Amino acid sequence: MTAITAPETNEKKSFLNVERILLLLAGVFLLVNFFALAFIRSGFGITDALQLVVWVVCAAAGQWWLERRLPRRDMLLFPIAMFLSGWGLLLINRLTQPFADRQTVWLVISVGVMMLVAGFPHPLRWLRNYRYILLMIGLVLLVGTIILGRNPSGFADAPQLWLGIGSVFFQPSEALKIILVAFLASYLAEQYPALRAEEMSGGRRFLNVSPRIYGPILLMWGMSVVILVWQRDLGTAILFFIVFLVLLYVASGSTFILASGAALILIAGVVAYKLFAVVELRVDIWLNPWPEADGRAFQIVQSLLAFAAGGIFGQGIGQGSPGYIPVTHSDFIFAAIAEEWGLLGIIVVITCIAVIVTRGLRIAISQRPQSFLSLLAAGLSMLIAVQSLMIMAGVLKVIPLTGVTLPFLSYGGSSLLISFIIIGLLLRLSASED
Amino acid sequence: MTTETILFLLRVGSGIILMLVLLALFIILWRDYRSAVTGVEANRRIYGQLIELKEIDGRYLETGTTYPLLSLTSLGRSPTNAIPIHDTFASGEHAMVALRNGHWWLEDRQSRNGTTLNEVMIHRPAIITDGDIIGVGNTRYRMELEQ
Amino acid sequence: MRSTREINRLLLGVLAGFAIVALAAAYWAIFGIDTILTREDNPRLFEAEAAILRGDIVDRADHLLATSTIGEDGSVSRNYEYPETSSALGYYSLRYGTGGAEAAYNSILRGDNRDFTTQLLHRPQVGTDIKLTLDLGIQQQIAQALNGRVGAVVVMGVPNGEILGLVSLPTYNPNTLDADWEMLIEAPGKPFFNRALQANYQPGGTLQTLLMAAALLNRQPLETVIENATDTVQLANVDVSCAVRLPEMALTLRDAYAFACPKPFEELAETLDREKIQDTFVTFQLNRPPSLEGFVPQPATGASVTSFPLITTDNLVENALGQGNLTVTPLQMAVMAAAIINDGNAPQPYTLAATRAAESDAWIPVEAIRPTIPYANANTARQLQDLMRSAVANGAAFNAARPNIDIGGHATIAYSGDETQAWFVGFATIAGRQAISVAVVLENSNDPGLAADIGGTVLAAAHEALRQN
Repeated sequence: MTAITAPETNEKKSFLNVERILLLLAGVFLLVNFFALAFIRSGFGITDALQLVVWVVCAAAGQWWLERRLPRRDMLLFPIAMFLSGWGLLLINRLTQPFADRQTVWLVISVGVMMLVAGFPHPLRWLRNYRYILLMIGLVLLVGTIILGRNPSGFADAPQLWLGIGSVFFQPSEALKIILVAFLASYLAEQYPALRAEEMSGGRRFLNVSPRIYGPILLMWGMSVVILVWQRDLGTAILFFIVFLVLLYVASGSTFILASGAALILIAGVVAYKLFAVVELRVDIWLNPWPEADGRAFQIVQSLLAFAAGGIFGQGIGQGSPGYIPVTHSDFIFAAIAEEWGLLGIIVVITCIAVIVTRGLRIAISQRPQSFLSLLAAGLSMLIAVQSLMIMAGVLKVIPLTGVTLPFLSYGGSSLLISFIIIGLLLRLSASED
Repeated sequence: MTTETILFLLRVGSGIILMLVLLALFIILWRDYRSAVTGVEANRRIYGQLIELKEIDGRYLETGTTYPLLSLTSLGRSPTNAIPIHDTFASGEHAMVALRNGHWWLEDRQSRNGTTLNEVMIHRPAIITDGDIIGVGNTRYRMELEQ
Repeated sequence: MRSTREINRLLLGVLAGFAIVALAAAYWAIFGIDTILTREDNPRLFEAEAAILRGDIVDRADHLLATSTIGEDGSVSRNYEYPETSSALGYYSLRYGTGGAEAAYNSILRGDNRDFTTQLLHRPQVGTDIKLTLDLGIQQQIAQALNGRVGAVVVMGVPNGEILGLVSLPTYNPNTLDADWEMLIEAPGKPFFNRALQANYQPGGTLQTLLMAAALLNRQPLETVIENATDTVQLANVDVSCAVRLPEMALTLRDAYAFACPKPFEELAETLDREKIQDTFVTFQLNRPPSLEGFVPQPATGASVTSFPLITTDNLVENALGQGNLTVTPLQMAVMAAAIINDGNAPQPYTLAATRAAESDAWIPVEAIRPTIPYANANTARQLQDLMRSAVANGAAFNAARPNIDIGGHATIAYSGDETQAWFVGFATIAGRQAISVAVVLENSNDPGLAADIGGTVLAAAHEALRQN
C-alpha cells in the first residue's frame, strides 16, 4: 500500500505531474463552460472572469503549497476537490448568479484553511490530544444552534440550522462532522483492545456486551435523535449515525454491530414516520411521487425530469431548464448537472467522489499500524461517501430524500469549508508523517 | 459562425474534457494499481512486525498499533526511536531489537527499569524468535516474523 | 490494527452504492425520455411550446390571416388579423390548445418534423406556413351579410371542393382568447361550437331536393297539379308549412319545390315508399356527413355514420319532410349543392392549398387525390339544377337572384322544437365546369328569403372572386 504516495521516479521531475494534469483539465473545462455561459448571457461579466481567476489562483497556490509541504501526498485528492468545487462554482453562477460571489469567497477561505491544515505542525496529534475539548465545543455548538439557530432564508418553518453573525452564516452541524469523527476515531482507537478482545483471544465471535460499546452507541443514537427532533435535520442525523456505525464496525470487525445498527435506523425510521410529518412526507413521496407531481412531490418529479431531459450528453450549460427544481443550487445540484452535462457529467461526478473515497479508504489501510490515524481516515472518507450517496440516491428517488448537501458542488460555505478540511486531513494522512 | 454553432462546439468540447478526465482517472488508478502490485516485491525486505499489546486480566490484547520490524529497531521514550513509547517507566533510549548473523537479538540499553523477555528480566542480549513477548515499562510487544 | 478486511468491505459497499446511483441515473437518462419527459406537467414541454414560432396562415390570395411575432421579452404571441376568419382559422392558445384550422394543421404549423441538427443546436422550433383555400373577401362578405345573426355559411368551389368561405356565428376573438375563455365557455351561444361543420340541424325542406331526385329517378310526373298543395302538414309535434306564405291553391310538384311546400312531398313520399327514399338518401350520403378532418374534435371514429335503417315505415313522412331523426350539417348541404352543379359528382371538401417551409419563399402545393363521390347521374343532376334555378327565378329563393349571374337554389324552413331555422342551399356557375355552391342556415329565423338573400350575396362575391383568376 505504499503506492498511495506519488512515485518518486522520473515523473516528479517533469512539470506535468498527475496533480497538474488533472488541474489543467479542470481549468480547461471551467474555461470552456464559463465561455459558453458568457455566450448564452451575451456578455462576459467582470465577476464571472474574476471567479475563474480566483479558482485558478486557488488551484495554483494550493498545488504549490502542497508540493512544498507534503511532497509525498496523494496526488488525486486535491485536483479532484478543486475540479468539483470549480464545477460547483460554475453551476451556482449559472443557477443563482447572485450567490456565486459569496461562494467564491468561501472557496478562497476553504482552500486557505486546507493549506493551513496541510502545513500546520501535527494537526492529527492535536486532534487526538484535545478531543474532549473539541467534543465540548461541538456539543456547545449543537446546543447553541438549537437555542439560537436561524435560517438565512428567513422562513419561519425552515430548519433553523445556522448560526449567524451579521450576514455571515455558518452551519455548526458541518463542523460537528469532523469533530465527531475525530473524537470517535480516538475513542475507538483507545478501546480497540477491548473491542477485539474476543477475537484475539480466540474466543467466541460474539458482541462484547460492555458499556464501552453500547455506551457510545446510545450516545450517538441519542445525539442523532436530538438533531432530528429539535432541528428536524433528518439528513445530518442519519449521516452521523451511519458514519459512527461504520467506524465501530471497522474498529470491532463485528458484522453484528452493522446489523443491529441498521435495525436501529429502521426502528428509528418507523417511529419517525409515525411521529414527524416531515419524515412521513419524505417517505410517501418517495414511494409514489407521480400522483402528487404538482404538489408535495413537485421537487423530486422535477429532479427526475431533469435527468431525463439531460439524456446522455446533456443540453449544455445554460441551455437546459434546471431552474424548475426548487433549491436546485443546493440539495438538487446533482439534477442540474444531469440536465446540462447529461449522464456523462453524472458519471464523472460519481467517479470523482468514488475516487476520493477509494483513496481515503486506502489511506486508512496504509495507516493500519496506527489505529487512530486509520480510523480517522476511514471516518473522513465515509463522511464524504455517505453524504454523497444519501443526496445522490435521494435526488434519483432510490432512497427517500434527506436534505444534505453534495460535497464540493452544492452551494454553502460551511459544507465547502468542511469538505476541504477533510481533504486537507486526508492529504496529511496520506503523507504519512506525524 | 453562428452563436448556436459556437455553443454546440463548446458543448462538444466540454464533453470531450469530461471524457478525458474519466480517462485520466482510470489511467492513474490503473498505473497506481500496477505499481502497488509490483511494488511489493521491489520494496525493501519486510522482516516482520512488533505488535503493541496491553495486559488486561492476565491476557495480552492488541492495542491496534503495530510497528514494522527493521534490521535495527530502537525502543524508548525519545521520539527519535523507531518505536516511541509513551510510558513514564521507559527510558529515553530503552532497548533495541537487531538482526545479527541470522538471529534476532533483544538488547537492553542500560535502562532504569530494565527490559523483559517473556516477563523475565534480561541482563545480556538474548536471542528472540516468533511469538516472544518483549516488555518495556508497562507496554508489551509481540514479535511476529514473516515466514 | 486488523481492519483491512473491514475497510475493503466498506469500500466494496460504497462502490456498489455509487454503481446503483449511476445505474439509476442511466435509467432515467435513457428510458425517461420516452416516459416521464412526455408527461403533461413537464414544464419543459410548456416552455418549448411557448418558444415555437408557429407558421403563418394566409388565404388563397396571400392575405396574411394569422402570424406569430416575437415580443421584446422574447415571448412569442399569435396574432389574428381578421376577426371574420376566426371561425374557420380557430385559435391557438398555450393554455387552451388549438381549434379550427390551427388544430387541423397543428403539426405543420408547429414544424414538428424537425431534423436532428436543429434539435441538437437548440434552434428554436420554427413552423411551416400554410395557405388555405379560404378567400378573405368572401369571408368578409359572409360576415357582413350575416351581420351578427346566429347561423352558419359554407362556400365551396366546384369542381375541386375547396372551401372558399366558412363562417359560424357567434364566434370569438382568438386574440383575447385566454382572457375571455371562462366567459366564452359559459356563453349561451356556444361560440366554440362550429355550426358550419358540427351542428346537426333538422334539414326540414332542404330534403325536398333529394325527394325531387327520387321522383326524377322513379319517373314521377312533375307537372301534375296537386290540390291543396299549400296546406300545412301536421306532424306529431310540429306543423310544417310552405317557405313563403301562400293562399290555398293547387300547385304542380315543380312549383311546390320552388315554394318549398310540404304537402305534395308528403304525398310523394307515401307514393315512392320507404325503400326508394332511403336509397336516394343513402346515395346522397345523408348518413355520412363529410368532414374537414381535424377542424372539430371528433368524439370517436365511425360515430358519424348514422345506423341503418335510416327510414322506417313509421317515420317515413317525418324523415322525408326533414323533421324526423335525420340531421344534416351545413357543410353536408354545401357538398350536396356542389354535387348537383357538378353533374351529380360530389367533390370532397378541403382547405389546405399549399405549404411554405420556414425561411423559404416557395409555396409547395398540397397534392392529394380526392375522388368525387357520385350522388346522382348527370341527367338527374341537370334537372335538379333547373329546378333550383326556377326556385330562384320564380320561387321562395327569389331573393338570391343577382343580375348576370346564373344562380340556382332552394330556400326552406326547418323546425326544431319551438325554433325554426331558415335554410338556403344553392349554387352559381362561373365558366365551363367551374362553379360555387353555398349552404346558409340561420337559427331562430323563419325567413327563408333572408337566407336566400345572404346566399345570393355570398354567391355573387364568390363569383366575382373566382372570375378574376
